[in-house]
Amino acid sequence: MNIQDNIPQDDHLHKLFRENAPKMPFPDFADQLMEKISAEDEAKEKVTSNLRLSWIFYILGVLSGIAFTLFAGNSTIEIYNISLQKLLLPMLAVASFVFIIIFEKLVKAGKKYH
Amino acid sequence: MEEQYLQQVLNGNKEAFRHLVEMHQDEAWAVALSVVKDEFAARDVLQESFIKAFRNLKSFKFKSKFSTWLHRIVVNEALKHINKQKHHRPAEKNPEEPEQNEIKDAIDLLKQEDQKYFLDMALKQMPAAESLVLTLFYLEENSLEEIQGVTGYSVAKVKVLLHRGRKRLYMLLKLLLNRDIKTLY
Repeated sequence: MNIQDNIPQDDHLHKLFRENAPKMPFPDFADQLMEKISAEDEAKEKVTSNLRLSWIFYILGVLSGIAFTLFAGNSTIEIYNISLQKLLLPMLAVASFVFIIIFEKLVKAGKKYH
Repeated sequence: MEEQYLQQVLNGNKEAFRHLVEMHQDEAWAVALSVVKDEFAARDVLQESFIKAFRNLKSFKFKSKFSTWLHRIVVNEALKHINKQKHHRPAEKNPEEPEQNEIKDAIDLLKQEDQKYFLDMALKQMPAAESLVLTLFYLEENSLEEIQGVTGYSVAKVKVLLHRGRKRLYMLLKLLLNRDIKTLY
């Protein structure tokens, strides 16, 4: 106890608290806690694995897009009488926008579950 | 023993954390209950606190006692919980000074389970800050500096809360004992 701190000693109160200390009334608390920790870890592992797959498919998608751009640039194919070369720029714009959004979401998800 | 378990958890042995939980759950329970006043809320708070402690164990630097560090987390989670409740609590008046010796004698005459009942009832009716500081000082036997570390209150505020809390506790015990006698007769 702290005599030097001018706190009243009050041994009676000290005894009252110690002799009537509350005990955890839920005997399975530790079991439930460890189960919850394990469940959270399993869920995190699943999410991490899904994220990894997402990145793989994202990169495949970007590479496919680059390959398609190179192919379309030299192509003479027409769609509804419009040459593929003319359609390339708007398609690139839309695809870039989508890829940037997906990239941002993947990075955010990676930070959240790291 | 405690340090061994801590090292084992840090080395990846998740099950070692169970031993730490079993070693500290009763004390942490008392701290949580002193703030949230409800057993089921205290259980939820304690579960969140232990999970937070497990996830952030790397940040425990072994400079203080593990219980002090853990209790800090418990207090923060408990305060978050009662702030979420958003119940308007009227400002507590400063308690009057009751005749303590009379109350102490009356309590000493009670059986163990009755002492526990009256103490629990009185603590439930006290402001969270006062019951928390009383619990940390008289039950956990923390020093003022340790209480400062757990609660974030200044040492001066801890002293004020202890003085006020003692007076209010005795006042509540007196009221509860008198009420109990009246219902018997």
